[in-house]
Parts: sequence; C-alpha cells; structure tokens
Amino acid sequence: MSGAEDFDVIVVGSGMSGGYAAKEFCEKGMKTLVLERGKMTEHSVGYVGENQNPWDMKHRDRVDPKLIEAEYPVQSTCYAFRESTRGFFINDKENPYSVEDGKTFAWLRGDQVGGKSLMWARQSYRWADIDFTANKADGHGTDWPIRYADVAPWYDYVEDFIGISGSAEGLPQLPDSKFQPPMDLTCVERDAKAKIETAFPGRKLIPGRAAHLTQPTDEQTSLGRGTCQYRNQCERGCSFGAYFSSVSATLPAAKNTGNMTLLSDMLVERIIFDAGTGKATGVRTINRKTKESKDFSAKVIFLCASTLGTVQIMLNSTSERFHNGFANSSRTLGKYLMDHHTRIGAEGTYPGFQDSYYAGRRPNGIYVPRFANLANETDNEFVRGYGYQGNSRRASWTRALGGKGFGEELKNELRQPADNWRFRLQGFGEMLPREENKVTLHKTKTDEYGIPQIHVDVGWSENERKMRIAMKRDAIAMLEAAGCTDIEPFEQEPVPGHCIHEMGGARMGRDPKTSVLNGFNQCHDVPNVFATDGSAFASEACQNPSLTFMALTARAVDYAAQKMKEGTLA
Amino acid sequence: MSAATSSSELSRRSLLRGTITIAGAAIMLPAMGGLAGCSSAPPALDTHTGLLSALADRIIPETDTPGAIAAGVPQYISDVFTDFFTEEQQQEFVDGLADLSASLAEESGGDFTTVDAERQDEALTGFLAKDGMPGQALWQQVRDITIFGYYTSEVATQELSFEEVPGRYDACLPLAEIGSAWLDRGV
Repeated sequence: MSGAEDFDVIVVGSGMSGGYAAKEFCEKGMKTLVLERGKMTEHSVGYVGENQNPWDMKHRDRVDPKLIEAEYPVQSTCYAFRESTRGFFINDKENPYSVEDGKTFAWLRGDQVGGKSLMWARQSYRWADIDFTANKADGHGTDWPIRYADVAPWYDYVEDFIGISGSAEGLPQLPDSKFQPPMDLTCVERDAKAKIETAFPGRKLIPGRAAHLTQPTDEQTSLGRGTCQYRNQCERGCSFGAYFSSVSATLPAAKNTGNMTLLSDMLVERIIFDAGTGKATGVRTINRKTKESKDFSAKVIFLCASTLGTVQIMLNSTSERFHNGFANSSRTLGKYLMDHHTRIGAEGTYPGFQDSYYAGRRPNGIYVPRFANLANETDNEFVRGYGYQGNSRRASWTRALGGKGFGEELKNELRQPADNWRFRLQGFGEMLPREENKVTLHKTKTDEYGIPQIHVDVGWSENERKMRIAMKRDAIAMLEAAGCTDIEPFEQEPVPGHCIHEMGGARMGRDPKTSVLNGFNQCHDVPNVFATDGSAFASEACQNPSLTFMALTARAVDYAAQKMKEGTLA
Repeated sequence: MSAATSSSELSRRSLLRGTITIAGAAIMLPAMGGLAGCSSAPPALDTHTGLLSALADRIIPETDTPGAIAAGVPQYISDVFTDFFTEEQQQEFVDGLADLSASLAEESGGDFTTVDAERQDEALTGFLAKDGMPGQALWQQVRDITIFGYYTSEVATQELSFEEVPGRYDACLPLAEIGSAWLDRGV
C-alpha cells in the first residue's frame, strides 16, 4: 500500500463496540473514520423522548397499534419500545430480513449513532474463567483462545471509563468489577437475600451491576456526565449522561481528540480486498440518503456493526479468494449463532413490610449469579449455567387495570400502594454454540439498496430445554425459601434474538481451520481486519455481554495499534 | 418473516376499507352507527359523548381532588378511538356503547346521562351485578381506558406522589414518609 489511505482506521458501527474502538484509536492518535448506518444522534439534543411526562404525549407513551402492525412488528416486542423510544428502533418494514420456515428470530436493532447502547438495559457483568474454559471442558464449540486473565486488565480499564455501580462479592463465577457504589436492595430484597442465602448455601442475591454513575470520577465529569437522578427513563437517552452509552461517553471522548470523522446514514456494503497484498484496502459504502456509492480506504478495519450486521458485511464481501464470505477459509462464518434464553421464572407475594416503601425510580434490579455447574460439570442433566434478574415492588394504580370497582372507593384505594409487595425472579440461560444455528445471505431477497437480506436459521437444543426445567424449578424454590405466597411460575417459548444478546457467527479460536478470528479478534485470513462485537464470541456464558464486548474491543485496539506502530500490520 | 405478511395483509385490508368507503360515498348511505356492516361513514362517537363523559365521571369522580372530567379523560378516550382503533374496533366500540346505553337506561329507569350521580352509581352497581348484561365487555374497556387516562394525566400528580426528577434513591423507608402510592408512568 502506498500510505495514501484516506484514514488510518475505519470503524464500522458506532454502538457499544464501535464507540469504544473509536475512542481508543483516536486517543492513540490514529485518524479514524466511524461509519454508522443509522441517523445522526447527538448527546442530549437527539433524545427526543426525554423529559416528557405521560401527559405531555397525546397517547401517553403508547405506540399506535396500527403503526406497530405495519412498521414495527418485530421491534415492538422489545421491552424498551415505546413512543418516546420508537425513534431509536429500526423500521422493520424498511429493513426486512428472512427467517427459516418454521423458526422464529427477532432481530432487534438500533437505527442511529450510538446503536443499541442508547436503549440497552445497562446490566454489566464480567465473565469468569468457567466461561472462557466452558467449550474446552464439555466439548461444545471450540476452545476460546483467551482466558479470564487475558481479559481481566481490560475489564479494569473499560470499567474505570464506563462506570459500573455494584457490590464487591468475591465470587469466582462472577468476578467483581471496579465498582462505583451499588444501588441498594429494598427492604424486601434484603430479607429475601438472607433467607435464600441461608436456605441455599452457595447462592447469592446481590444488587444488579449496572452501567450507571453513582459516584462519577473526574474523567466522567469532564465529559459532561453526572450522577444518576433515578428517573428510570434511560432508554429515551439521558442528558445527565448518567448511564453509559457511546453517545454520552466514548464518542465524545473520541471527538475531543480531533481525530474522529463520524459519518451517519452510511451503509457498509462490503469490505474491499486486495488479493495481491492479502489485505483489505477499505470499504464500499452506500449513502442511505443519496444512494450514492463511495469507497473509503484505511490501513486497518474494525467491524463493530453488531453481531448480525458484521456477519452480513463479511458474508457479502465475496471475492475470488473468498467466494464463501470474507476471511472464511474455515467455512465457519455465520455459524454457531447464539442468544440467551429467558421468559422463564416465577413471581410471588412477599408477606410483611406493609409499612415500608421506597423513593426514587431505581433503573436496575437484583441479580442471582450462576450457581449451577460451577466447575463446568458434564455429568449433570445439562451443561453450562443460568442466572436470574429480578426485583421487588409494590404496585401502584396500574393494578386496577382489568379489575373491578369504580368510583370514590376505587380512587381512595389506589391512593395507597398495593397491600403486599411482589417479588420476581427471571432466568437468563446460556445457549450452546451449535453449527446448525446459522445466518446466511438469502439467495434472492435483497433490501432497497440491493444488499442481500440475512436469512436466520436458529433453534434451541435439548440442553436449553433441560436447563429451562431447572431454571423454573429453582426460581420457585427460592421464592418458597423467601416465604412468598401465591407463587406464579411463568414460562413462554423463548424467541431467539429477543434477549438481544446475539453472539457468534465469526468466532474466535486457536485454529484457523475452525474459527474466523484469532485471540485478538483479528481475522486469521486477513490480518488488517478485526471484528470486536458479539460476532467474535465462541460461547456466550449466561451474563449480559456488552461489558465483555467493550473489554475485548479495547484489547484488540491496543494490539492492532501496537502492530501498526511496529509496521507489521499495515 | 412476519413483517412482510402483516404489511401486505394490512394493505389488503386498507384497500378493502377504501373500496367500501368509496362505494358507500357513491350511493350516499347515511351513517347508521349501531348497525354493523351497514355504515358508510367511519363509526363516530358523536351520539355517545354524553354517555362516555358520564361514565368517566363515575369511574373516577371529583372528590377532594379533581376527577376524570377535569383530567380530560373524555378527550383521551376520543383520541384513542380515533387514532388507535381499527375501523372494526371502532364499530365494536360504538355497538357496545349502544348496548351499554340500553342496559343502563333499564337500570336507571331513564336516561342514564341525566339522572343524578347517586342513581348513576346505583345503576352501574346493578348492571355489574347481573351476569351477561349487554355492554359489560364495553364497560370494562371504558373503565380501564378511564383509569389509564386519569392516572397518566397531570391532574393525577395531585392524587398520588410524584417526583419528576427524584435525584435520589432510597431503597427502604417508611411508607408514612411518602404518604401515598408513587404515580407510575403506566407503560
């Protein structure tokens, strides 16, 4: 290459991973182009739904059901989809994808600078050694090329910047982050913690670990971020910058260096490959507004376009050398797709505490870390593990909906919270990496830009089914141990994708014959292309993955920048 | 995936709806609310606004705080009807209101909207005590929209505890310190 590239680095995507890659490269002095397919969103001014009370909205934050049916049938299944957040979700009608007959898949997507980091649930948990060794231990998937010790310093590094509230517990299966003060347990949760931990030694009930500032550092304050105000309207965007998003944190840090060029409304159609050098030279884009095609060149390319977005670009980047998809000599690209399975658990009435209440709207809950198969046992009914998110609350006026009664008596009754507290545990389980769970490009269907639609073919296996029996059983048992009455188990068929924890498709591995990426998220086949979002994952643990996306991204940037400096990468 | 199916299904229905409207306009049928399938104009709440206001008023009455009328609930119901309901749902709603109106006339021994509040409450109690009275499903719908509309109105900040920007989180404190339920956002 001549050294006449447009940029040092191109980062595709501006969400959780892309924002972090942009910050790190820019701070290392690299001229960095960030390409985002969605619209421009700037901190605070782009948060159109923020600060609106229900009565400020004609339909009180409900979305027109006819509009949902016509344009948001998939996105509307997200817990965070409301009128005040609708602009952050992609339009399903304009962005079609294909699903294998008889299967389901919910592709929930952001449509702006910041991606899903704007409306994520902010739960942030480190992975542990059992997670990085799971594939090797039970033979499902291929061994991760890295271990917890490789990632631990990078967790430290990103947590200092992001800000995670939580409590140090010293659990080997859920290593502590560098925490800001936790959001306290309610009186009911404290009581439940004592009873559950007594009844089940080894189980823990802890405050949720969430990417909210409870004691901002000087670095965070200097970026304009402040302490959580407990409004719990995070998914609309937060002008206090109190929860982490790339729009409030990493992109401003990148911008401050003067090294970032951020372009919105830019679809990346493909990676451009030079067979002569064996390296990528840049990317081909389509401007969504003008439909104009334009190439950008760079020394290094970071794919951070979301798990499926990255895999789609790679599958579409065919050439004589890579006729089955970019850097796909292993033929594993698009395979081993995973998502967590949830929609299962139990809730019950918590006796007592009628005189107790809370103040402020906690944007967080409680967590019961994994307690099954802590040594990666293979002789149980199922392998891998699961954890629970949960909460306790006293219902307000919404408890009257669908009920009986009217008039002054009803109005007076609703002045007080419900007589009893309710306590809830919802399981989140690990899915095995399996070859048959895959995404391909549809042979004939394209989007309006002529890019082949993805075709998703994913289903659960016997291991997940067996795990779900235990997840429900254990939730009920913990509620019973806490003394709950009227225990109501719940279980719905989980829809893959619905947990929005898609991982896999371009997995990391030790062997170029069986994996797409090496231990630094670098393509085995093409050294100057990296993928650092969920696509890189060889297994998925049972914890929420975003924190690990960011730790691996920062680690990969450090490696790539070092190689660039040495002149061995480009 | 289902998106494609539902959007084409919707276009088919819109097309059908358009055809019906055009055909209806062409032969100038008068609107006949209450006769499903025979109306030419989209179903309208016109003839039932009095009943809806009376119901909203009795569901959340004015006490030491304002009630559903002061909270603008009748307008909210109208907005939901106009903006959110499909034409089929609008027709069902209007038909249900006609049933409910007739049932309440029977219970109150006259025009429900003109008898005094006490008689209205008695009529509603009597109506709800009898299984299978026509209009009971519609009553449940109006009751729930009224409750939702009231507690998502600004008036409800006089009724329940509300902090727009709490700026604090206290996980465990005496209920007496707050005094009433927190005003949930509803969705």
